[in-house]
Amino acid sequence: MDQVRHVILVLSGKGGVGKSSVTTQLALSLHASKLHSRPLKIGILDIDLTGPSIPRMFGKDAEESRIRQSSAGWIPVYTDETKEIGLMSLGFLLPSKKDSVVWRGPKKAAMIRQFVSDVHWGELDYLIIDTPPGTGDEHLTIVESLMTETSDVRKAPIDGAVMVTTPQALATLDVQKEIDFCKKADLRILGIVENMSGFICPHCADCTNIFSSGGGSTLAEKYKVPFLGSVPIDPKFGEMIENQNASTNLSVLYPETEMSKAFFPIVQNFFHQMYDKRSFKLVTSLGGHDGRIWSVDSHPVLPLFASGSQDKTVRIYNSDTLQLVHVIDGFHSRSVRRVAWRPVDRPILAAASFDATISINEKIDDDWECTAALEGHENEVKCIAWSPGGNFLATCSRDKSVWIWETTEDDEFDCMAVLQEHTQDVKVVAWHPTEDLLVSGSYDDTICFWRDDGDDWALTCQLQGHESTVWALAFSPSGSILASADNEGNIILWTKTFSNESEAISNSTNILRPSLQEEWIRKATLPHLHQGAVYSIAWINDQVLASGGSDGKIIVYESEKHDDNIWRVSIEKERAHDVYEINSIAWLGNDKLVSGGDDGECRVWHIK
Amino acid sequence: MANSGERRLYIYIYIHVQVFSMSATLQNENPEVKALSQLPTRAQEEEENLFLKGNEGWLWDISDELENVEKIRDAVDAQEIFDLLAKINDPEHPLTLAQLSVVKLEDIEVYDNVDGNSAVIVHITPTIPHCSMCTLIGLCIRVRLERCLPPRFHVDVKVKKGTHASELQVNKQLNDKERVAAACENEQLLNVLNSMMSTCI
Repeated sequence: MDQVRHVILVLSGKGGVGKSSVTTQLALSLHASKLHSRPLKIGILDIDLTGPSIPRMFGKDAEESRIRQSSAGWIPVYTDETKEIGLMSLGFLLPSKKDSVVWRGPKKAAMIRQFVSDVHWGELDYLIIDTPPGTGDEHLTIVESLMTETSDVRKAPIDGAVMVTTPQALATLDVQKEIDFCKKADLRILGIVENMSGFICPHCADCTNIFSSGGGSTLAEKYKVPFLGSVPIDPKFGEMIENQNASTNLSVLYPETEMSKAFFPIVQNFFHQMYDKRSFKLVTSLGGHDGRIWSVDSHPVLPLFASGSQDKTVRIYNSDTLQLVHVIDGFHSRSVRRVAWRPVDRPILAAASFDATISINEKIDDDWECTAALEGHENEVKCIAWSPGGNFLATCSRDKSVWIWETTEDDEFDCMAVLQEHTQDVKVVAWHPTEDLLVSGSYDDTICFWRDDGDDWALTCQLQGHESTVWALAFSPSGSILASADNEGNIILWTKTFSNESEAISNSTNILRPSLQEEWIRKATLPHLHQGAVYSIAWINDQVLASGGSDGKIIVYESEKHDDNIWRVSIEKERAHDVYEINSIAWLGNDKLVSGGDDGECRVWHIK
Repeated sequence: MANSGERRLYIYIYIHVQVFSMSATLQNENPEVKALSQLPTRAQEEEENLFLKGNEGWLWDISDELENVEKIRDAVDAQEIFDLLAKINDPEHPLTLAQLSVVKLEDIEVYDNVDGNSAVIVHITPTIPHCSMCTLIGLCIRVRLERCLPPRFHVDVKVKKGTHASELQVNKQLNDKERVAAACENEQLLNVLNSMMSTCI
């Protein structure tokens, strides 16, 4: 069990409340969670020895599915070839469904201990344990056995218990005993699920409370435990379970049912219990622009942020007081598309415009001046990016080229390279935080990687992973991951696998030396929750990044501590700018985010 | 236009106004033209339903801050969108998009939800498969809808499947927010668009 990340117990005070049904639904809903970057691997351990119902729930006829043994241990029965949901139950070990298990305590305890230590689960995200009703031998044994199984991927031997009850006040009396058991066994209670809460009519889908209602939530309030939600009775669910055969797959059928929609809020609350709940609150809304805000950027050192707008101006704010400090006006004849602070101690801001020029604005002795104007692009400039040292400025345009400018001693800009490999508008450029690597994303759906190979900037890699325009690119602060976002809302994380740098860049005078090449592969795809283009992505650290897009949502993703290939949605803020699209986001410090939208407003958010 | 000579002169003037260069002959010499009476309009029966429509609004949550201007709200439907677009002039012919069947009522989808995610999808049918005016027409429809509809509507303009040789390229251009915004800042193009919309109210 050393690769199992979370262990959950499902308890109930009484029998017949539908614990196995809740266990099954919890497993299927977790597996189908859209909030994770890949389907979660779930294991179900059925220790209801006298009434093992899990095999039946999944349509695994106990007589046909057998548990096999390997050198590593018993192998669970998987629901399908993907091996994402594994089952283990005494039902698989009995010779026949009709056999009863008439065992005394010690034998049951031994069986349970074997289930815990001898089953080879492999890598699992969640192990859900279906227990018999009440509190008995099985419960004590399972808690004891789990406490002894330590693992470095698990925070605690048991993450917690989920209690199932039915709405009547009478049933809840027994749950109180269960809560008491948890307190005595030092188990965290993740929440109460009220099962059989209402009946969904198969004809009109209306829900009627045939038992009384509210028992679960009253209990939750009284004992100060979280209330996860209520599950109704749906006859169609029962039919679906009964009519399974070798060709149907519950993990595919279940997400289409009404029950799974009803269960979804329970899983959301469950995740809030499992992971720290994060709050995302609006601090203030800053208006003033007379047109959409195309870009926001925060200064890496000083407490300043800027917004560039369709109204041809740039507004600069103090990020501590959130007050307007200055308005840069009059230099551009068309929309300001992008603003970028130079990563130096002084306030220097570059502003790129649809008028094909880039203005460099500096605050000198309390006055803002335009110290340089970079011309050269044939048409609209789409993006600018300063190199980490502040010496180079990369710019890109609808003219399909990427220009790299270098600053000279007297703060003048010289164009040192014009890179033309893209076949369409170049939408975005971004620098690597430590290496001399520039990436560009384009309307032609590709991402180009550029490195200085001594003589010139050369194309070292071109990725065709997106099927639509690449709008945003951002390297993680350590530089090990590149995130890219496209017009359909996909966000892909890339990592480098290979580079022939040592061969290609050497002091060799051989003019036929191999050209610099590198290979980047797809590391993970973030959960796809945006319903439209993602225009902006921003990292706060290597494990957390935020995205904003045309659907008006700001989403924050976090990677699992043990595995940075698995990403989870930790905040989903809908309608962040009401009905307007979000064009740009930037982090202000570690806990604040500023977003700019089509409504012309900058909104500052606080995350806890 | 009384005689063909006058008509030809009118067409030549049109060509001079075009920003895009093209040959002296029209792309499509003989388009199929619909008579005004054939175009779909709001039917007479709808007037009887106005009473019901008005009252439905009261069932609606009055405390919604976004719509606090009108308490009785008529949902936007395809006919309304069609009416907004019908009178746009074709850049080539002195006829409207509706008369040329470039815009058709059945190719307009409207999703109007109170709680967000409202969208309008318009499919256009160019008169010939290699029509180079297609992008211009699509752009004009976009601009018209962006000007007339409330901001909650997400607008999508696409070429009807199978009606244009460069369908994917045209769709990609029309749905690229940045390109559309940049194009609308171009004064010459804006003048062409405005002249196309001059017959709309």
